[in-house]
Amino acid sequence: MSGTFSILSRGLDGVHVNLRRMGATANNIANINTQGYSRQRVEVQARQTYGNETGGGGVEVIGVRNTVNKFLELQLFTLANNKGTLEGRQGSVSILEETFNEAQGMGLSKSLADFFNGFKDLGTDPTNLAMRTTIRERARNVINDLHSKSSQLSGMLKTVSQEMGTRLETANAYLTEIASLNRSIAQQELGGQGTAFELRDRRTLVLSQLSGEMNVNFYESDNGMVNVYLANGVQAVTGGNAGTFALVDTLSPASTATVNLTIPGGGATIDVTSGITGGCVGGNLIERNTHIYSMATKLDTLAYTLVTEVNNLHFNGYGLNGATHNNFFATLGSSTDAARLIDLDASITADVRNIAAAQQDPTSVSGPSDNRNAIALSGLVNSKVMNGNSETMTEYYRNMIGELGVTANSIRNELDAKTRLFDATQQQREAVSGVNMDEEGADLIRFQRAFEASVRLMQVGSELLDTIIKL
Amino acid sequence: MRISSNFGFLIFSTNLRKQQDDMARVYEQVSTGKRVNRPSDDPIAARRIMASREDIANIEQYQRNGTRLGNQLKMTESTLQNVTDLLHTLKEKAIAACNGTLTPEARGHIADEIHQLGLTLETLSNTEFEGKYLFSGFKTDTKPFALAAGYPSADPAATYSGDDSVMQVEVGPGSVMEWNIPGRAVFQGDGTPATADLFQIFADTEAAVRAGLVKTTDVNGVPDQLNKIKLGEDQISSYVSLAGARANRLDSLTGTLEQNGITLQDFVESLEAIDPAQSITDMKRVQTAYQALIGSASQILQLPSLLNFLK
Repeated sequence: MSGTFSILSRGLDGVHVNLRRMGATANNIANINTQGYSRQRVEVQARQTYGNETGGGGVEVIGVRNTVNKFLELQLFTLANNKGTLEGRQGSVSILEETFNEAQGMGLSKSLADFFNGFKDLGTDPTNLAMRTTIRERARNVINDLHSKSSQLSGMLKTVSQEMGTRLETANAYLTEIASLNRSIAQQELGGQGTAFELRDRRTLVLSQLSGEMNVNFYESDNGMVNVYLANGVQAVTGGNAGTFALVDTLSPASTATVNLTIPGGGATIDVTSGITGGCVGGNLIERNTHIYSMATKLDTLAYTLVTEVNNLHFNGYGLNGATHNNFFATLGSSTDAARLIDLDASITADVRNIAAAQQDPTSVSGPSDNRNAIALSGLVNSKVMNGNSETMTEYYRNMIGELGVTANSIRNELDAKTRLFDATQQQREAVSGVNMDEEGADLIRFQRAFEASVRLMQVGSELLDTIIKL
Repeated sequence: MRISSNFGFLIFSTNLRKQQDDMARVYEQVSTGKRVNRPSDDPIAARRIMASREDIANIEQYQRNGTRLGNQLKMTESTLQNVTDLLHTLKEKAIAACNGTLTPEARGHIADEIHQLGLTLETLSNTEFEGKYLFSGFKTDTKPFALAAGYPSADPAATYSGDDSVMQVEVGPGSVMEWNIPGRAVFQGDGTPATADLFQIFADTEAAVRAGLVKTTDVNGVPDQLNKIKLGEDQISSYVSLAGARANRLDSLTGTLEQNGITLQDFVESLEAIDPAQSITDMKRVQTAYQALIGSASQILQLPSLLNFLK
């Protein structure tokens, strides 16, 4: 008799199991395009038999597993972070490069060379007012170039800072979502650890997106919640509580930006700038606080050196009208903001005869063709006055651009490599966790057939019982 | 390997992005004709291009300076050549005046002619070039020579108002050349017997001819003056050859500069220009690859799945 009933219950097992399986398949198909979804499988095993029961104990569902390769997931976090750092830098570096693009033969290096060559021209004819006017116009070109580069740099500073602000807002949203997912997972998994697949998938995705924004570490605690740490050990998410980032930036090229974090659960606000070294925000920070900042400082140094060196020589020379002790550029107190502040001295704006081409008074001592100071001024182009007297002004500027080119080039190549690696890893993750429509289709048929067989089994069991009962 | 259904889309979008990037780069190169459009395209080449461009700009400046110096030297040389001719005429007149058969009246005519030669010398010594006096040192706005009021009998015969300064001009990297020759040394010498004061020679010759002092025994007579004229000719010809030597040096410098300029231009060209054949081939290649990608993607991504056949 027990055999007959067991046929019925085995059939019931089959119906249960295959329904669950078809449910999982349906879920997989439904989520085929859900970002971060890992396909689910119903795990079954033959039920254990006791004593000398014949025919086995049937089948039981032992759980639902999602197919995840933890190593690949971690790899993706790291790559998303590396890629983010480069992406955070690439935008501003490529704009910087266009700002300082001298590859077309235009720009500051040309206007600077033209300016000094103007003094060489004047050296052949110091009485020529047209040449004097040309020098003044060329000096204005240098000044305009410095002004426009300086304003482009502060414009970029603003853009990067705003981008960083937006990214921090996004990061805040991620932190909040992680904290709320933490709470839901802990609640749902009260019955069993690691069963809130959908929530965990979602949390993994958000963590990966957060990794793209900044470099974070995270550890899962016993209740299924993850704590998120910044690189300097400060917690950004503690269980169900999320911290909040805030950007502090005066937008001045002379100072740097700071990222503050209000620690999870409210309370103290601390400076975490040093803890954000990667991801898009980290990349933005490198650009804001290091790269653009140093370009601006270098440009200021160049402008300041130009002003002081030209003035030093010019001050002691004599104009065509015998005027002396005039500056060529308006004097600057320090290199701070020099590229923005550089301007002609009022005496030069007023009269080009004040341009001091002569070494002695041409009206009384030497003569109007005294060109010695003009030659000395034109020679400044070759004097090594920058970088501890190791580079000329144009070399300094050229190296500045050269370094920018190298940086832009390496970021481009690295980003290319990291993107490929990221894509390849993503493909590997897809291979493990992604849904295959054909596979699901085949499974559907398989489970449907098994379901039909199980129902048929129950029918047979019922007929057997009928036969026995009618005896 | 297990393939997920999204795998194809993933690969397609990755490759599409890459192909479009490639295509944009090749198009940019073909349309600008340049391989290096920004420093990051080739940082090393970009730096070299910038340095070479600066060198080329400097060479152009040196060439402009050289051209102006060349004109100045030509003018100096031809003026001094005229002075040589003038001295030659003076010598002829002086020799003619020595003819014993001449009447005092005829000598007076010759003296008058010599007076005119003296005035011509003054004009030549005050030659202007581009509105500036050639022979007045730094004082190019000051007329350098003026005959004295009592010419030819005044002593000195003429005064110099220029100075002895020499303008230096850069005509090549580290090559400085002298622009002008101060007039005092050319026309008046330094006052020692080894040098000649041309104005004094013209004045004294005129006076000697007018006075009829033509015998070798005459103190400060025409024969004495003939010796001084010889000295003057030597003095001027030494400055003619100085100007000529400077012009030669300038010529060779300019030649070298021009060569350097062409070499640098070629160098820049070789660094930044595209190889048209190569670029057009590249363009065809990326276009073909792009079309192949789009074509194959539209085929593969439309393949029906198993679910299409389930009834």
